[in-house]
Formats: sequence, structure tokens, C-alpha cells
Amino acid sequence: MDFKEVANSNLMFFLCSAVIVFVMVQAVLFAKAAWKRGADLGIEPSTMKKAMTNAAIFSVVPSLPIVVMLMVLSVNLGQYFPWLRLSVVGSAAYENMAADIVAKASGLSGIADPGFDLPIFTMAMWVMSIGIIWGIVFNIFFMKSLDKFSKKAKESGSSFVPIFSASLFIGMLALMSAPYITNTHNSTAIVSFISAAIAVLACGQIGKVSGVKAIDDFSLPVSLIVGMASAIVYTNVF
Amino acid sequence: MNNGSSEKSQAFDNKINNLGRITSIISLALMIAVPLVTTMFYKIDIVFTEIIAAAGGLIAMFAPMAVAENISYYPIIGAGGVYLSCITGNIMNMKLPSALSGMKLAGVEPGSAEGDVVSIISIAVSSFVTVSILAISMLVIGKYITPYLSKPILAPAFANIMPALLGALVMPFVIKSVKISVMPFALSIALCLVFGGAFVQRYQSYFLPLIMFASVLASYCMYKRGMFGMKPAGSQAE
Repeated sequence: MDFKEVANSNLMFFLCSAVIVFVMVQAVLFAKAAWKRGADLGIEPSTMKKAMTNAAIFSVVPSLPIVVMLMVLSVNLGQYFPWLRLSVVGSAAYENMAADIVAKASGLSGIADPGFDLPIFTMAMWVMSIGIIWGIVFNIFFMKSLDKFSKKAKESGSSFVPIFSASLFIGMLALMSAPYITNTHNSTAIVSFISAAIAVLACGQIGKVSGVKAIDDFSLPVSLIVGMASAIVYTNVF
Repeated sequence: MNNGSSEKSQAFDNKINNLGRITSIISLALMIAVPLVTTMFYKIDIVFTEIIAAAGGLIAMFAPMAVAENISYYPIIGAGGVYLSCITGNIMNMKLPSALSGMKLAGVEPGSAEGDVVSIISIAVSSFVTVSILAISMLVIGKYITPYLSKPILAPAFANIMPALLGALVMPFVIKSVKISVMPFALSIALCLVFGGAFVQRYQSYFLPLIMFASVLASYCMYKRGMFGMKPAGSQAE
């Protein structure tokens, strides 16, 4: 049997949908629990709604390259399995790499090789599924203990706690940014970084001066698009 | 951080950890069911040692990375945020920015009880949006929008999502916390200059705990010297 028949079968659609539907249920359950807790903590519902709107609007743009990747992977792996993989843990780069490793281990040139058959496809499904589940496994076994331990440490109520958190995420942002801002061979990335940085400050200022707080509230999606657009302009002008 | 009694906060932590564990186990089972059921239903001859051999390299690479990343994400987005993001992936480019900008917008600190609530809500919505966009794309519009999204003129924009995103995220935090930012940025930039940005990016997961530790250490030294304009709670806390 051709692997494409299996890859595009109703059974495959059903199996993949089951995971995706459950993942959406999970998101709803968490959001509901958090909403209730937010109300207990005295966070305004309007503030929580704004955070939700922000997340929704912002997430559209970074999802678009995943759509393209979905279409690319579907050519060789059928439409349902890549849909599942890109909807859950996987990232575009990982899925491609995992499938490629299996194809090469089976003596093929890659996933587009005509020799890619049902057993190899099934093996690719296995490898793609078990290669990247370790974050989830870690959470199942250790997250609760980590959470308990850290909450205990915080109970000391030291005024250092907020500085501690800020140091952690600024450290993370610094490490992620440094490769882009130091890479003089890729000036487009530097232009994007700086334009987005200026845009976010501008949004804050405009929001403050004009009194339209929404401009500041949605500065992330706006600045992201400004940064991306400036990459287009820069590439075409220089 | 002080609203809500500690019993309520403990009840919420327990709820999130139980919900996180149970939904992680179910998601994992459903994910593994996809290749498992396919293998059994079509009676495909699969050599499991071959799967392990092919997946071995990936597991050796991704398992320690997952541990380092989850421990790094936890203080920023909280246990609930980590449970959710590990299931749907795309943490660096979507879940973390959604959570951070949500917290900024709501005026709450990462790592606080309020911060955890806003993180969960933002990440849940972000997951929901990505999963929905992929579902709609796979079922209906993917074929139609892909040609537009793959237009060469848009290529620089999609290639620079990360720097644009980082520019927009970094700027407000750096301006707000200049002192905290100096150490992690100086160190990250130095790492990139010494090892090259590509190397730093490839081993980002391993550099992450290192930079975060250095960042906290530097802040702690400044805090002890009273550089944050508040008295260290030293004598009492210790």
C-alpha cells in the first residue's frame, strides 16, 4: 500500500484530530482556572480580557510561517500528520529534521525520495513523536516539586524577589537578542530589531500623549509588524 | 502578591499542578497513539530497535535541552505556563512573548501570583489561535494563502520575525531596568563575539541557565549594596 493512502486516511485524520481537540480542551481548562484565580486576586476582568486580546492578535503573525511549513511538509508526509506535529510540541525545523533522519537512516536521500514507503513513513511518525516529548515528561515528573520548592523560597517575602524575576527574564531576552545584534553580516536582522524597538517606544509615547491607551496596550503586535516591514523595505532599498 | 490567602494560593497551585500532570499524561498518550494505532491497524512491520536508534540522537539532544529550558521558563511564566507551552511548542517565538507582553500590559510582575494568572491566560489564548489557524489552513485556506505567504518580497519579513519580536520585547524592559540589564547583555554579547552568534544560538538552551544565573548574581550584588534604592531585608530574612 502506498504510504500516502495511509497518511491521508480517515483513521489518520481521526487520530490527529483527537490530540488537537484535547490540546484545545486543555487550553480552555487552564484559562478557566486562571480566570477564576485572577478574580480572587482582584485582577480586573477588563485587564484579563485585554491580555487575551493581545495574545490573540499577536499570535497571528508568527503562526503564518507555520502555515507555510505545514504546506511544505504535507507534500511529503500527507496532510494530517504534519498538521498534528506543527499544532503540538513540534517546530517546523524539528519535524523536518526528524523525518529526514529517518529517511537517511533507511538509506534514502531524504523525505522526498521516491523510496519513501509505508514502513519508513511509520517509523518517521514514531521518531517525530518520541524525539521531542521530553519537556512534557519532565513536567509530569518534576514540575510539581519545582513549583513547591520555589514557592517556599518566595515565602520569605524578601524585596529581592521581583528583582530576581526581572533578572531571569532579562537574562533570557539578552541571550536571545545578542546573536542578532552582533551579527554584522545580517544587517537586515539588526534593522528589524532596532525598528521594532523604536516602534514599541513610539507606541508607548503616542499612547501616553494621545490618551488612547490601546496604542500602548497593543504595542507588541504593532511593533512586530513594523520590524518585519522594515526588513522588507531595507532589503529592497539597500 | 499579597492578596488572597496563602491557603487559596496553595489550592490554586495544587489545582494547576494536578491539571497539568493529568492533561500532560493524556496528551502524551494521545500523541503516542497516532503512530501506535497506525502500526497496529495496518500491521506494519516495525523494528523498534531501529526506531530507538534513529530517535537516539534526537533524544540525546532534546532531552537535556528540555530540562534546561523548562527550569529557565518556570520562574517567568509559572508552572501553568510551562505545562501549557510544552504541549503546544513555539515557546520562544509565541508563548513567552504573549505572556511577557500580557504581563506588561496588565501591569503585573513575572513570577508573582498575578503574573502567573496572566501568563496562563495569554499562553492558552496563543495556543488556541495557532491551533485554530493551522486547522483552518489544513482544512480550507492553506492552499490559497500559501502562494501569497511564499512571495519572495515577503521572505525578509518572515526571516526576521525573531529579531523584530525581540526588539519589541527587550526595549521596554531594558529602559525600565537598566541596572539589571547591563550584566546579562554584556555577557551575552561577549559570548557571541567570542564563540560566534551561530554557536550561541545552537547551544542556547545550555547558555540560558548560565546567563540567568550570572544575571541574578549581578543583581543580588547590586541589591546588597542598596543600588535598587531599597534596604536589603538581609538581617530579617537570614
